[in-house]
Amino acid sequence: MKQTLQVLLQLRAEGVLARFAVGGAIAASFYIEAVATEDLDIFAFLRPSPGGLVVLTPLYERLKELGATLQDEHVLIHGWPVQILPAYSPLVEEAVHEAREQTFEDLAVPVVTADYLCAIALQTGRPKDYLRVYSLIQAGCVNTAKLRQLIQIHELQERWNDYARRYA
Amino acid sequence: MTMPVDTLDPVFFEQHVARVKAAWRKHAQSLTWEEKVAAIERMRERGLSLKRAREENTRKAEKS
Repeated sequence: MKQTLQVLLQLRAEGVLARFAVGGAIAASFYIEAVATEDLDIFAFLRPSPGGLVVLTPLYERLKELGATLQDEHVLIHGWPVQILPAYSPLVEEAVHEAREQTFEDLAVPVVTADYLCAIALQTGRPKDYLRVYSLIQAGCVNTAKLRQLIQIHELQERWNDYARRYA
Repeated sequence: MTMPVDTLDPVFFEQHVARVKAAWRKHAQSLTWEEKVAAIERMRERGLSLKRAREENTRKAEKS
Protein backbone atom coordinates (compact mmCIF):
# COMPACT_ATOMS: atom_id res chain seq x y z
CA MET A 1 0.00 0.00 0.00
CA LYS A 2 2.79 2.41 0.82
CA GLN A 3 4.22 2.22 -2.70
CA THR A 4 0.74 2.70 -4.17
CA LEU A 5 0.20 5.83 -2.10
CA GLN A 6 3.68 7.06 -3.04
CA VAL A 7 2.76 6.89 -6.73
CA LEU A 8 -0.42 8.90 -6.10
CA LEU A 9 1.50 11.51 -4.15
CA GLN A 10 4.05 11.66 -6.95
CA LEU A 11 1.27 12.26 -9.49
CA ARG A 12 0.01 15.12 -7.34
CA ALA A 13 3.51 16.57 -7.00
CA GLU A 14 3.89 16.43 -10.79
CA GLY A 15 0.50 18.13 -11.24
CA VAL A 16 -1.09 15.22 -13.10
CA LEU A 17 -3.56 14.97 -10.24
CA ALA A 18 -4.48 18.47 -9.09
CA ARG A 19 -5.77 17.18 -5.78
CA PHE A 20 -6.90 13.82 -4.43
CA ALA A 21 -8.16 12.10 -1.31
CA VAL A 22 -8.43 8.49 -0.22
CA GLY A 23 -12.06 7.39 0.16
CA GLY A 24 -14.00 4.16 0.50
CA ALA A 25 -13.10 1.26 2.77
CA ILE A 26 -9.43 2.20 3.09
CA ALA A 27 -10.34 5.68 4.31
CA ALA A 28 -12.97 4.20 6.63
CA SER A 29 -10.33 1.89 8.09
CA PHE A 30 -8.57 4.96 9.43
CA TYR A 31 -11.57 5.60 11.72
CA ILE A 32 -13.15 2.19 12.29
CA GLU A 33 -12.25 -1.49 12.16
CA ALA A 34 -10.94 -2.89 8.90
CA VAL A 35 -13.41 -4.46 6.50
CA ALA A 36 -12.55 -6.44 3.40
CA THR A 37 -12.21 -4.50 0.18
CA GLU A 38 -10.88 -5.30 -3.24
CA ASP A 39 -9.71 -1.86 -4.19
CA LEU A 40 -8.47 1.54 -3.15
CA ASP A 41 -10.89 4.35 -3.98
CA ILE A 42 -9.38 7.69 -4.87
CA PHE A 43 -11.45 10.82 -5.42
CA ALA A 44 -9.51 13.24 -7.55
CA PHE A 45 -9.45 16.53 -9.37
CA LEU A 46 -7.62 16.01 -12.61
CA ARG A 47 -5.56 18.65 -14.33
CA PRO A 48 -7.71 20.24 -17.07
CA SER A 49 -6.37 20.24 -20.62
CA PRO A 50 -5.50 23.62 -22.23
CA GLY A 51 -9.01 23.67 -23.71
CA GLY A 52 -10.48 23.39 -20.22
CA LEU A 53 -11.73 19.82 -20.60
CA VAL A 54 -10.77 17.21 -18.06
CA VAL A 55 -9.21 14.27 -19.86
CA LEU A 56 -7.92 11.04 -18.39
CA THR A 57 -5.28 10.34 -21.04
CA PRO A 58 -2.32 12.19 -19.43
CA LEU A 59 -3.05 10.49 -16.11
CA TYR A 60 -3.15 7.00 -17.59
CA GLU A 61 -0.08 7.63 -19.75
CA ARG A 62 1.91 8.74 -16.72
CA LEU A 63 0.63 5.80 -14.68
CA LYS A 64 1.80 3.41 -17.40
CA GLU A 65 5.22 5.07 -17.37
CA LEU A 66 5.33 4.43 -13.64
CA GLY A 67 4.62 0.73 -14.16
CA ALA A 68 0.89 0.64 -13.54
CA THR A 69 -1.38 -1.50 -15.68
CA LEU A 70 -5.06 -1.20 -16.54
CA GLN A 71 -7.36 -3.87 -15.15
CA ASP A 72 -11.05 -3.37 -16.01
CA GLU A 73 -12.13 -0.17 -14.26
CA HIS A 74 -9.04 -0.19 -12.06
CA VAL A 75 -5.42 0.77 -12.40
CA LEU A 76 -3.14 -1.79 -10.82
CA ILE A 77 -0.47 0.14 -8.91
CA HIS A 78 2.07 -1.96 -7.04
CA GLY A 79 -0.42 -4.81 -6.65
CA TRP A 80 -3.37 -2.69 -5.50
CA PRO A 81 -6.32 -2.14 -7.84
CA VAL A 82 -6.97 1.59 -7.61
CA GLN A 83 -10.17 3.21 -8.75
CA ILE A 84 -9.51 6.84 -9.59
CA LEU A 85 -12.85 8.61 -9.60
CA PRO A 86 -12.91 12.19 -10.85
CA ALA A 87 -14.83 14.15 -8.18
CA TYR A 88 -18.31 13.43 -9.54
CA SER A 89 -20.64 15.50 -7.35
CA PRO A 90 -20.51 18.72 -5.31
CA LEU A 91 -20.41 16.56 -2.18
CA VAL A 92 -17.36 14.61 -3.36
CA GLU A 93 -15.67 17.81 -4.53
CA GLU A 94 -16.14 19.24 -1.05
CA ALA A 95 -14.91 16.00 0.52
CA VAL A 96 -11.66 16.25 -1.44
CA HIS A 97 -11.20 19.90 -0.43
CA GLU A 98 -11.92 19.13 3.22
CA ALA A 99 -9.78 15.97 3.40
CA ARG A 100 -7.23 15.85 6.23
CA GLU A 101 -3.70 14.61 5.89
CA GLN A 102 -3.12 11.43 7.89
CA THR A 103 0.14 9.60 8.34
CA PHE A 104 0.58 6.22 6.68
CA GLU A 105 4.03 5.00 7.57
CA ASP A 106 6.01 8.18 6.84
CA LEU A 107 3.67 9.55 4.17
CA ALA A 108 1.18 12.39 4.64
CA VAL A 109 -1.89 11.10 2.83
CA PRO A 110 -5.10 13.09 2.30
CA VAL A 111 -8.04 11.10 3.70
CA VAL A 112 -11.74 11.96 3.46
CA THR A 113 -13.07 12.88 6.90
CA ALA A 114 -15.56 10.65 8.73
CA ASP A 115 -18.38 13.19 8.24
CA TYR A 116 -17.91 13.25 4.48
CA LEU A 117 -17.45 9.46 4.32
CA CYS A 118 -20.88 9.16 5.98
CA ALA A 119 -22.50 11.63 3.59
CA ILE A 120 -20.93 9.95 0.52
CA ALA A 121 -22.04 6.55 1.81
CA LEU A 122 -25.59 7.88 2.19
CA GLN A 123 -25.43 9.28 -1.35
CA THR A 124 -24.21 5.92 -2.71
CA GLY A 125 -26.90 4.15 -0.72
CA ARG A 126 -26.05 0.43 -0.96
CA PRO A 127 -26.54 -1.78 2.13
CA LYS A 128 -22.78 -1.90 2.70
CA ASP A 129 -22.66 1.91 2.58
CA TYR A 130 -25.38 2.18 5.23
CA LEU A 131 -23.40 -0.26 7.35
CA ARG A 132 -20.40 2.07 7.04
CA VAL A 133 -22.52 5.02 8.20
CA TYR A 134 -23.67 2.95 11.19
CA SER A 135 -20.12 1.87 12.07
CA LEU A 136 -18.72 5.41 11.81
CA ILE A 137 -21.49 6.85 13.98
CA GLN A 138 -21.20 4.00 16.47
CA ALA A 139 -17.44 4.52 16.72
CA GLY A 140 -18.11 8.13 17.75
CA CYS A 141 -15.93 9.69 15.09
CA VAL A 142 -18.67 11.64 13.31
CA ASN A 143 -19.42 15.27 14.04
CA THR A 144 -23.20 14.98 14.07
CA ALA A 145 -23.82 18.71 13.56
CA LYS A 146 -21.60 18.64 10.46
CA LEU A 147 -23.27 15.46 9.16
CA ARG A 148 -26.71 17.03 9.64
CA GLN A 149 -25.51 20.08 7.69
CA LEU A 150 -24.18 17.88 4.86
CA ILE A 151 -27.46 15.94 4.73
CA GLN A 152 -29.39 19.21 4.36
CA ILE A 153 -27.06 20.91 1.88
CA HIS A 154 -26.71 17.88 -0.37
CA GLU A 155 -30.36 16.88 -0.09
CA LEU A 156 -29.76 13.50 1.45
CA GLN A 157 -32.78 13.57 3.79
CA GLU A 158 -34.55 10.70 2.02
CA ARG A 159 -31.42 8.58 2.17
CA TRP A 160 -30.98 9.42 5.83
CA ASN A 161 -34.59 8.42 6.53
CA ASP A 162 -34.06 5.18 4.64
CA TYR A 163 -30.90 4.52 6.67
CA ALA A 164 -32.67 5.38 9.95
CA ARG A 165 -35.54 3.00 9.14
CA ARG A 166 -33.01 0.17 8.84
CA TYR A 167 -30.58 0.98 11.63
CA ALA A 168 -32.15 3.37 14.16
CA MET B 1 -17.57 -17.58 34.42
CA THR B 2 -19.80 -20.66 34.43
CA MET B 3 -21.23 -21.44 31.02
CA PRO B 4 -24.99 -22.00 31.19
CA VAL B 5 -26.22 -25.33 29.87
CA ASP B 6 -28.29 -23.61 27.22
CA THR B 7 -25.87 -21.23 25.49
CA LEU B 8 -28.68 -20.08 23.22
CA ASP B 9 -30.54 -18.68 26.20
CA PRO B 10 -31.57 -15.30 24.71
CA VAL B 11 -30.26 -13.19 27.59
CA PHE B 12 -26.91 -15.00 27.71
CA PHE B 13 -26.68 -14.87 23.92
CA GLU B 14 -27.33 -11.10 23.77
CA GLN B 15 -24.82 -10.43 26.55
CA HIS B 16 -22.22 -12.67 24.93
CA VAL B 17 -22.60 -10.95 21.55
CA ALA B 18 -22.36 -7.52 23.23
CA ARG B 19 -19.19 -8.58 25.08
CA VAL B 20 -17.57 -9.95 21.93
CA LYS B 21 -18.48 -6.80 19.98
CA ALA B 22 -17.11 -4.53 22.71
CA ALA B 23 -13.88 -6.56 22.92
CA TRP B 24 -13.49 -6.45 19.16
CA ARG B 25 -14.14 -2.70 19.05
CA LYS B 26 -11.56 -2.15 21.76
CA HIS B 27 -9.08 -4.30 19.84
CA ALA B 28 -9.81 -2.49 16.55
CA GLN B 29 -9.38 0.92 18.19
CA SER B 30 -5.98 -0.13 19.49
CA LEU B 31 -4.71 -0.84 15.96
CA THR B 32 -2.93 1.74 13.85
CA TRP B 33 -4.11 2.58 10.34
CA GLU B 34 -1.10 0.70 8.93
CA GLU B 35 -2.05 -2.42 10.90
CA LYS B 36 -5.64 -2.22 9.72
CA VAL B 37 -4.56 -1.80 6.09
CA ALA B 38 -2.23 -4.80 6.52
CA ALA B 39 -5.25 -6.78 7.78
CA ILE B 40 -7.22 -5.67 4.70
CA GLU B 41 -4.33 -6.80 2.49
CA ARG B 42 -4.38 -10.23 4.16
CA MET B 43 -8.16 -10.48 3.66
CA ARG B 44 -7.69 -9.54 0.02
CA GLU B 45 -4.98 -12.18 -0.49
CA ARG B 46 -7.19 -14.84 1.12
CA GLY B 47 -10.09 -13.77 -1.10
CA LEU B 48 -7.91 -13.99 -4.20
CA SER B 49 -6.55 -17.45 -3.34
CA LEU B 50 -10.10 -18.70 -2.64
CA LYS B 51 -11.18 -17.31 -6.00
CA ARG B 52 -8.26 -19.03 -7.73
CA ALA B 53 -9.06 -22.33 -5.99
CA ARG B 54 -12.73 -22.06 -7.04
CA GLU B 55 -11.73 -21.36 -10.64
CA GLU B 56 -9.33 -24.33 -10.59
CA ASN B 57 -12.06 -26.60 -9.21
CA THR B 58 -14.48 -25.40 -11.89
CA ARG B 59 -11.87 -26.11 -14.60
CA LYS B 60 -11.24 -29.60 -13.21
CA ALA B 61 -14.98 -30.28 -12.97
CA GLU B 62 -15.47 -29.16 -16.57
CA LYS B 63 -12.65 -31.43 -17.79
CA SER B 64 -13.90 -34.54 -16.02
